Amino acid sequence: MKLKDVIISEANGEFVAVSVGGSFNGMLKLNSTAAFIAEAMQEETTVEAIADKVCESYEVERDIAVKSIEAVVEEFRKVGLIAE
Amino acid sequence: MSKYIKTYLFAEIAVRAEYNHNYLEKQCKDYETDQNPQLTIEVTADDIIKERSFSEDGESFSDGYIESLAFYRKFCEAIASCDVILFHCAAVAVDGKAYLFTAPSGTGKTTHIGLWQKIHGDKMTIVNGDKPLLKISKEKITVYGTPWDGKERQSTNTSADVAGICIINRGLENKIQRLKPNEAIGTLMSQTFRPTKAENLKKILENVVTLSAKVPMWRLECNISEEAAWLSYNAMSKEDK
Repeated sequence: MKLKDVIISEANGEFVAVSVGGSFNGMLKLNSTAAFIAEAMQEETTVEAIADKVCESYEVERDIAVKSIEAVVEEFRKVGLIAE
Repeated sequence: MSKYIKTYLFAEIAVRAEYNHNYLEKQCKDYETDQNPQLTIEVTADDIIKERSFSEDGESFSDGYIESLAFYRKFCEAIASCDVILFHCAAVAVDGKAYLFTAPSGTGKTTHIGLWQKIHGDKMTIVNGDKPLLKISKEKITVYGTPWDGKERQSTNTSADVAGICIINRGLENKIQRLKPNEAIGTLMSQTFRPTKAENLKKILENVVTLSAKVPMWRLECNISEEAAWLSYNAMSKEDK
């Protein structure tokens, strides 16, 4: 899975994401974890591969990382940002 | 070969327009220029067919009107790299400073600037009632009139530096509050023309971020009264940094 043409940008100390074309016309606000996950999903990847990256960069238990990645992926999926 | 070839100046960008219907020719008369064009926008028959498919009940509009929309869309896509954005709002100027009111269609932008006109009279200019252009820089944000100006055809070929942006909501009482940049940014983005090319959208997103940080943002709940106009004017004109 990967994100469909999504642009992520820093905005006044937070992160925001918008979609190019597509059906989602809004703007997502991302915290730094979600932004990290979104960046990882700019290329074809898996939850497991993202979890590897998260665990390298943050001190976090792997199963907690996997759960939060799944939650973020689900949010992206809901608004149609994911190319499966 | 297009029937009309004219050069216009919109937000200080000289554009050569090539098109076929007199609707656009009449609409843009005030904006003709002798300057050398920086870019050329040609509206083709295919562009008109495509534009018609974007618009709800598109079948009922004339080719000339649809051609005008298609031209503005192509122009706004092309100028993303020039740090100019189309921001859907009603823009007015008082004492040389511009104030922008934004809201979904039908909320009461036009009504609110009508109330401003009542309290300010000749001191106020309507820069544009619907689709003005904003030039974005780190130093200042400037709004420019355009002839794409809404049902009421309210616009002036002028410009002014923007001193505040107000998001309007209908309310029973009149209340105004200052917003933090990121409380406003979602609304700003939803009211900004979205180009279809990724590189242009990236540029526009950066410019909307700059806009949110640079200009004071407000949320107004208001009814239809002169008191509502005084409330928004007093708040916005006192705090323009």
